[in-house]
Amino acid sequence: MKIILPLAFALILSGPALAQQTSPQGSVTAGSGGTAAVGGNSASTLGAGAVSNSPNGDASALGMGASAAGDNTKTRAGVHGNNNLNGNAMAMAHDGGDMAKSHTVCHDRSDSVDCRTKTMAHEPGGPPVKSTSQGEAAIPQQ
Amino acid sequence: MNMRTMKLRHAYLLLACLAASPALAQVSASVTAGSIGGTAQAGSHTPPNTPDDRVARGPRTDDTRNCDSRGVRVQSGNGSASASASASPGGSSAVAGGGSPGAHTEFFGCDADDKRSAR
Repeated sequence: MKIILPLAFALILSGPALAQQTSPQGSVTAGSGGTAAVGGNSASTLGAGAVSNSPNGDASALGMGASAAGDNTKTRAGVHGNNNLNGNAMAMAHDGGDMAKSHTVCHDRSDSVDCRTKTMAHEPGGPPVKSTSQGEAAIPQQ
Repeated sequence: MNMRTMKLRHAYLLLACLAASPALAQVSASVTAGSIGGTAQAGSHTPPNTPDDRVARGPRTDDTRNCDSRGVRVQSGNGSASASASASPGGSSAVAGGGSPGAHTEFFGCDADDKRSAR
């Protein structure tokens, strides 16, 4: 009895850990994008993600893009991760004075997609003009 | 076969279609920003275009020079999720794509052959 009781207690505690976790079934997509432009410089970034959970298996996909035009430009995009995907896209253009910048970050999780884009345009002597856009969607819990 | 049997069969067919509809439901999102565009689709169970079932990641992003166009398309292994991004000509650009294990990633545009990454 002294052994059985602790053993039963341990089994009760480990129950939730042993239970199989399943993602909610369904499909969602979301994306965001933005452009900043000032003078002859422009910078654009976007991201679009999809998550689908079905009896056939869980799947996700993420696409990112960046584009910039101007005297000096810099663009970068990347996607990392396996089941949870993280994406980044960055674009910047400047001519020594004016500067345009855009940055998008996306997350594909097991049951949701979230993308956020921030842009900034700046002229010398003036305040930076900033904006943020976001797209998010989640599979409802059953 | 009498009329009653035929009606019953049609009823079963209708029920089968209704039961299958949630699994076949498709959702999509399209995004456009300046000279780039992107789309994402989920829920369709179309098989992948190629038999390549290796996990794909990428791309190299050190090459962002101007080219005719540049794009990426990702499709999950079971075809139920896909995403794409493409940039129009002009300026510098970079695209990247990735998916869950088994996804197929394909790059388009200049240097597509070099930038195609699948591992």
